[in-house]
Amino acid sequence: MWKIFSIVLIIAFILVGVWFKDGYILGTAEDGVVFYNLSNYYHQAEYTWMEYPGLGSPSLSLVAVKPTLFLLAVLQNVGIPGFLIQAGVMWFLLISSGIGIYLLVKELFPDLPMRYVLLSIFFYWFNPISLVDVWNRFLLNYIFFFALLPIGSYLYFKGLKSRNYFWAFLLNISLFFYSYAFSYIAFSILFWIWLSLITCFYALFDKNRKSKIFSLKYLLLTLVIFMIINCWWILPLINLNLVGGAVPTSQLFMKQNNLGTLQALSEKTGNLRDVFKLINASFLAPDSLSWVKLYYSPVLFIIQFVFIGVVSFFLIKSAKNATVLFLGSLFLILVFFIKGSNPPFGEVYSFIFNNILILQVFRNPFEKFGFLLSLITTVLLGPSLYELGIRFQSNFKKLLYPAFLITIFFYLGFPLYTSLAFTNKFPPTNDYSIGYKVKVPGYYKTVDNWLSGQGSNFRYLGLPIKEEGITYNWEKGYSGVELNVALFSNSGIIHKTSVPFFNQIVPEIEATFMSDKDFAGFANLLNVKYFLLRYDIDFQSRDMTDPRIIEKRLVAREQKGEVKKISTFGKVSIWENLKWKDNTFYATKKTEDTLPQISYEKINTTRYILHVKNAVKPYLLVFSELYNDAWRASFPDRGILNDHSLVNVYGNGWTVDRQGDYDILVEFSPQKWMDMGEKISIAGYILITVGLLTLKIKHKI
Amino acid sequence: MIYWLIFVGILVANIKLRKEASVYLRYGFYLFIVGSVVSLLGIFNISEFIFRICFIFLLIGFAFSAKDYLTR
Repeated sequence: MWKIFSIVLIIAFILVGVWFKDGYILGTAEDGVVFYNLSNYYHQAEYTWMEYPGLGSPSLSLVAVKPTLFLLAVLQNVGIPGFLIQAGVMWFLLISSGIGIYLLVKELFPDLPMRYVLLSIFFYWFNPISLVDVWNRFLLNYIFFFALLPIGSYLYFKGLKSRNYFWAFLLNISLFFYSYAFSYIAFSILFWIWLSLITCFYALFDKNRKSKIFSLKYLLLTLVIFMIINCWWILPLINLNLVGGAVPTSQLFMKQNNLGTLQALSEKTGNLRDVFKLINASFLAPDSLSWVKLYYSPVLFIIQFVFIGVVSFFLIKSAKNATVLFLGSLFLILVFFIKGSNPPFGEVYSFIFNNILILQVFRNPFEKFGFLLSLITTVLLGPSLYELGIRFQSNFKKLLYPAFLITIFFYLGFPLYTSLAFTNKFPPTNDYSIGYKVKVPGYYKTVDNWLSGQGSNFRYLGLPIKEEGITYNWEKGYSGVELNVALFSNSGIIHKTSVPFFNQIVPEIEATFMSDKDFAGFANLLNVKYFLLRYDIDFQSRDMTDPRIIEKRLVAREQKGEVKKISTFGKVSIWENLKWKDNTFYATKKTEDTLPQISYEKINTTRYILHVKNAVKPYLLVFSELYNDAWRASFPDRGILNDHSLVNVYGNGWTVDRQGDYDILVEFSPQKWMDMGEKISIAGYILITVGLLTLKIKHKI
Repeated sequence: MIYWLIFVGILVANIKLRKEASVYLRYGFYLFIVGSVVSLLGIFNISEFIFRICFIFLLIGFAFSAKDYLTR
């Protein structure tokens, strides 16, 4: 056992060493460069409301990453470089997945020789699904889920097999280290679908009636503990959905759009000729990099068919064995799920998809169920090869193992230990010397420090501004979602997203700025005090306005006295909106009557205390944060302001009809649930840990 | 629709033929090999059709194996 663990530790160390040997952070796509500034990302997950992407939005299940980011941010704050922390996390996840596979395979096939278990571990790391959906996509929650699956499945299965509830507790305690995976709601659902499938098939093939009942109780207990100790993100999420504030999430559940997406993606990636090669067909495009084309060449397809071929051979030859029946059933049901609405029996998937709302997150079946198919194929591969070897003559048998070891380690693993897996077709990631490596220029630190020094009661506006994706022309450049969270501590508007209301505002920004219209008024509506003009973006590839044209317009507005150039730091220049005033909260009314004076204290992103003075007549209180039904305004005597409405296209407004001097509390209501959930979660973790330790000390487990 | 017909057809035929689970599994595996070869030849539509039939055979074979195991 220790020999296998040592090999896993060493190979994982070598892989991580190759990826991070140059001392750069890796980052791309929706994740950005999390490890550049972990504290900034932590602040987005700290409360149920985050100031990203500019006008704010609910954090939703993102709060699930709070404990992980807190721990990692502490490490960064004591001076450990971001790339080292990222390397450590990757090492942990690789080791964890490797050891998880070892434990799971040995639990299911105790007599399997170690060297075949090792093959399974390598296959889990390097198989084509992992290559595309885990390593090439390079999203941290995906990698955490990839690492969680084997160890989670082992702990759950162990309890099921031994009929001991202890494992349900241990599994849930272990989930703390993988809570990052649950920041993507689809993975929470997928995890529970997986455990339910394991329970169903295990109970089905267990002839003992008591065991069947235990299996069901065990699943329910695991779920209940999961709900209790994950209260910190589950409670606010439920509350937000109940009050109708989870708008970005609810858009994920729009049936008409999703059914079309499901059918299109199933046709693209759900063909069995690709599924049986474990290949994500959408990964290959005419403009793909040469190494990708190599992996999709017909000659190499022979090798890729061999893996499922060997597993199928094992399944049909050992179908009388209960363990094989159990695993084979899981394998077939996953093939059914992964092909989505494609025939045969795709109508069943479409029916389930249409009628169970929560399953709408599985509109890309290959991407989601691919994780499970990769796991089950991995578990079956080692025993399949061992059984195949037994059936052949000794000479062939001797060749079989090395042939598969070389194929898996050197052919499938090649993109990983050469870092090719961390390249993409989009520049600059298509440059093999850059790939996903990112080096943020030092002047961004200076800009961030300067902006932070001006306070936190304003927003900045990044120019030029366009869609969510951006390309930076740095020494080690970046291509992916805009990096405002990573680069700046202050809140700013720097790109468009699909967030409702915000998506209506952004397209108007540059159009108004470039016109002769009054821009200061528009900027004030968004509470924008500074403009950041960036010269280091690849504006041509992103079809954005040339920064030099923006600069000319700024100069013209400077001559009119609207803006003033403050300074230039590296390739970023800062301009000030001279007509800015703090519009976080303000009072307004249709007539020219006297308005009350309003000052405020910001407790955190979800809680503000307003001090109102000299209120005479009813007025409209405006809060320049993104409108959400869950924002509440109330008086200290618990009188609630009911007239909550959308103002200024995106903001919150309340009609206040109270005279004199008084305070108003404005808060994002799900935060109370998160505060309560955190207490329940902490108590749950402490109780379970103490309970398990006590039982261990008393040798009862 | 055609796959539902094939599926039901096999089940109905089995009432009379009474083939063992291993027969369906074996056919499924043969179809897998044929499908792989056809796919490697680049005839994707036919290989996809063969793989789908292969999947139906494997499903039926496994269902019968499970039934045999549970009634043993």
